[in-house]
Amino acid sequence: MPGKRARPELERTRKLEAMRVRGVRGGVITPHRSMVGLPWTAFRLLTTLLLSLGGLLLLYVSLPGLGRFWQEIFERTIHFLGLPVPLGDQVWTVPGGLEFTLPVLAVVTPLPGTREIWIAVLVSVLVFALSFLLPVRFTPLRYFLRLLAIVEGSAIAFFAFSTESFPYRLQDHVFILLSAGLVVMALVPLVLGLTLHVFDLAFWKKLLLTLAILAHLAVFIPLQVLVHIWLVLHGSAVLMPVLFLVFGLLLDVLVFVAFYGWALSWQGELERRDLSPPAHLAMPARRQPA
Amino acid sequence: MLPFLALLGLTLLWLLLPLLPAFRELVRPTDVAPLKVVDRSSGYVAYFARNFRQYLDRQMAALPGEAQVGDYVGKLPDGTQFIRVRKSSQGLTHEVEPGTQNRLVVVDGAMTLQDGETFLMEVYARAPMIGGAGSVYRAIYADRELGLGERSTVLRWAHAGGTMGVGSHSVLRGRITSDQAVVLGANVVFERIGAPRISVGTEHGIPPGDGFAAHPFALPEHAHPIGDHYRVEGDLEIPAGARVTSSLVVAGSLTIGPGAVVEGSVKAHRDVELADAARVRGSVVARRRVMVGDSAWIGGPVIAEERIRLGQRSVVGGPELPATVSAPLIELAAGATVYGQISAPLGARTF
Amino acid sequence: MRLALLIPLYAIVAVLIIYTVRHYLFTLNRLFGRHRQPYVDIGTAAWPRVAVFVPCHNEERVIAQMLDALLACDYPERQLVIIPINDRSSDGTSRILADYAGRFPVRVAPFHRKGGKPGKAAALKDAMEASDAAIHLVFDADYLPGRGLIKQLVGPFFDPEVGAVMGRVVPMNVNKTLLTRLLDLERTGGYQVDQQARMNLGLIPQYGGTVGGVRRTALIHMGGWRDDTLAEDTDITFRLILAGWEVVYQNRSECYEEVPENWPSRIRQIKRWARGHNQALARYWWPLLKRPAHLRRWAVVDGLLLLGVFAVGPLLLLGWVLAVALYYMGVQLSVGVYVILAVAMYSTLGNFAAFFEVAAGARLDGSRGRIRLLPFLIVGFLVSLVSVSWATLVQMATFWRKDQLWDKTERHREAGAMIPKETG
Repeated sequence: MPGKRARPELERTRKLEAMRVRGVRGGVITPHRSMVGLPWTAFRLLTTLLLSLGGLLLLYVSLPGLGRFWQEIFERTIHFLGLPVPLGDQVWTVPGGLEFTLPVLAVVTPLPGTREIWIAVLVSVLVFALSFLLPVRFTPLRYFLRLLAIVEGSAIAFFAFSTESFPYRLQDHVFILLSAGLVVMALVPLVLGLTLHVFDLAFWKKLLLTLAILAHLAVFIPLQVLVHIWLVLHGSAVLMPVLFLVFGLLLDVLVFVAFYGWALSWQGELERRDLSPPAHLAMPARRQPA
Repeated sequence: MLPFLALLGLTLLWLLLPLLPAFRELVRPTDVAPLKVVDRSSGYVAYFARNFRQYLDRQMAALPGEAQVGDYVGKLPDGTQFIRVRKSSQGLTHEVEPGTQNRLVVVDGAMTLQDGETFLMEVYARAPMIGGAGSVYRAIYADRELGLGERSTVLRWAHAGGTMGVGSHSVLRGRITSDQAVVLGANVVFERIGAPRISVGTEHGIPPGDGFAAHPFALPEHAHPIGDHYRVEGDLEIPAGARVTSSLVVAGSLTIGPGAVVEGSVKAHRDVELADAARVRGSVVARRRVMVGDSAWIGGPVIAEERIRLGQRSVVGGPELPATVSAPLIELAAGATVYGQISAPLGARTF
Repeated sequence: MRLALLIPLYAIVAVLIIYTVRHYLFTLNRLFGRHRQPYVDIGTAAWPRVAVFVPCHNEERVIAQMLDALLACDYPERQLVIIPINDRSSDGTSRILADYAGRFPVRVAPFHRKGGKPGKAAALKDAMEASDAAIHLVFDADYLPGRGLIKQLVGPFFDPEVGAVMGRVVPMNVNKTLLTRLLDLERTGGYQVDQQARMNLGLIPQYGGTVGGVRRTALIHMGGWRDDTLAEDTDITFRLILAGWEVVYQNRSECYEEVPENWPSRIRQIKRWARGHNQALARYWWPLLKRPAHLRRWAVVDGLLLLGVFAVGPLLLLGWVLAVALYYMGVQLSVGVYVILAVAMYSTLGNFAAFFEVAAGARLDGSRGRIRLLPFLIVGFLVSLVSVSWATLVQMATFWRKDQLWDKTERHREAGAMIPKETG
């Protein structure tokens, strides 16, 4: 039969080839880490493009649904919080003619009076002072608290001298964060394509990760904005700068980096295949000495 | 206030969700050990062979007295199956399948093995041993002389205390070492060999260079000194019979004509070509290829980032001047001799 | 007024984008490109004479282990001399060195400095004449070289163009604190990816001052070590490159080091690096820009970016300040600007390796688990950013001062502490 003689030879060749790179217990002898790279495959290039463009497309077609979802969250949460904030929506059109809505507030932005400014001063000074009381091993936290105090200090200085000229209303703050959040979500599949999909993770893992990040941000962004709304309505606009600059986009990027770090700690396909025991290899085992 | 705290709590929990793996790794680390820095030099070719010898010595020393002499089939103290033969390879029985030996083999007496054998475990030869043609070895350690028949295959390493001869058309994967010499047949493919002397066929000593009356060569005007060498932009050709007394770095390709001599080392950002009987006392380095003509001599390491070709009777190094030849691909013509080490991760071939 | 703030902000964002693209290309190259380590297989040779310099200032906790490691190396004994530079030590360092010199009179030859300028650069400069060996290797006192490391580091010097060699630094005390784990990630990104990619692409790998060395004739050609710099490694790198020598990075040549375990140590270390690096930037940006004929265009570009690596921190801080100012002025910046500024905060400041570069390096190392710590990079970056910016400001404000204060890195290892066992 054609191929009949070739099969035992092929089997033998495979065994011998495996013996070249496998240790006595079956584990693969890998090259030193200073020499290894990552083999590139056309499949991975294809899936990278597919996941990136697919993720973008998915987000695009989901925009109307996402808008309605955010509107729903806003309505329910504002009602839950008991906030006297009339809520509307505004229609936006993206290239391609697709329309979606974003929640819009109709509320007067509470500008800080003397009382609010002094409270902000007191809290900022306390936070700044606290940063010096923390032990040295909390140095990053010390620096972060000082950063908060300094940014809030800049807001206090601005409002102390020029309250009326503050250029943002609460509606603007909300809109900027929501639209910036959408841009971050749009960047997710692209940045993943450039920096994560190039690795040898399984396709389904990459797909799930893309969806997980988008789903997480889809929930986090409106919650984040709602927290801001409550804080500004109760603490005045003197909180808007620090909320925007420190607790806005930086947190969205933090979410992405956290997912990214977690995903790249997963086992790759090359490693998974190499670690599986060689079922066909009839290797006499060598026991460890007692 | 309470509803807000609930919202804040939910938002924080949701934010912290993707950070859980990070916090978990921080608090209960799974990967916090320093990278294991391998102590030995990657250039120590006989590493695995020496390790095996030390391992086997410990195991054999722990065998009971009756197991230390004569033909024997049994287990080492660590459970490894082994077989020892003294008089003849006919004693290599207990095979899993015909022609395949899956035990560690100890050859106690001078012996010629049968053709076509496959040894799945190491072979240790205490006396001179000649392997059969077409045999496959996982690894071999020979205390004395070792001859590998034609079309032999070594998968991991082989070492001989005496001279190792390798039959034509053999494939030597991994590390091949000898304490004396390795003599390669034609069309032998290998990756790495280390020995005081490595030759293709008959060994050749350092070609005599005094027969040529080398005349001083004036470097081009644009050559400029940098420390202990001269740099030349573009290509450089050293004519036949010329002598250069310094080291050279050439931005293009370097050609050293027949019988020319360079007293230092040379490096080219493209190719280096040594014509027949050219000599370089130091090392030869090329970003692409090094082509060495017949009966040429290089006193130091030869390094290329693509390919090296050693011509007939060319010599690298000397009996008191060990050197390394290293490139992804290497070709050695008949009579080429290297005193030291040849390293070709993508493969070296004799022809 | 808006334009006066917008233009510099966008210039800063452009710089950040350039660095991000640079590190991305390095990552791609390291993952998929052709790998260059041409000298690593030189195992047999007529080994040249080597002097190993070990600058010591109050190193009683670590110097004995360092000397033991050097004495155990497989480099031919007759070709190796170890020269600990006893730089005005006031602890037990002198006693330990005297003991080793007594037991190994030929192999260990301490050089004692009683006075002179403080600092490693000055110490090396003074001690240079102590040996006429062809190769001068330098190790910090807390390093632990393996048996084969000296041969590996000497191998590239058979190439006549090579003026300096650098190996890979591997933190040993990773498990001590969050800081040490973050610094381990920083080293991984910097060496496994950044340095190796620059080697692969024929750009400018940096000699890092330890786990490496310099050819003596190159050193003499340069006029020796400069003692008016806080970063003698960066300084010599660019002097060599500009003069036509090559600097080689060898990823395989690994050596254990001790990274700072507490924040004050780290802050002092990074301030010193920043000041030294900025000095090199001021000295060599123009000679580099003039592009000597032997340097490729891309090598010049990369060299300038390398020189600017510690200047990016203060620029980033300035970028944030400008962004805040523009916020108050009601200027709606593009989301991309905020994203770039935010992403840059998840880098490692020592080499400005981006988070994906760090992750790629750790994956290549086979250390997947520690990649989960990536979000904490912002923690270390914030501290480093402020420290480097402050150091740069002070440096600019006191640029006329000739004397440089050398802050020695604190040692944490107990004398005789166990080191990770070798495998392989």
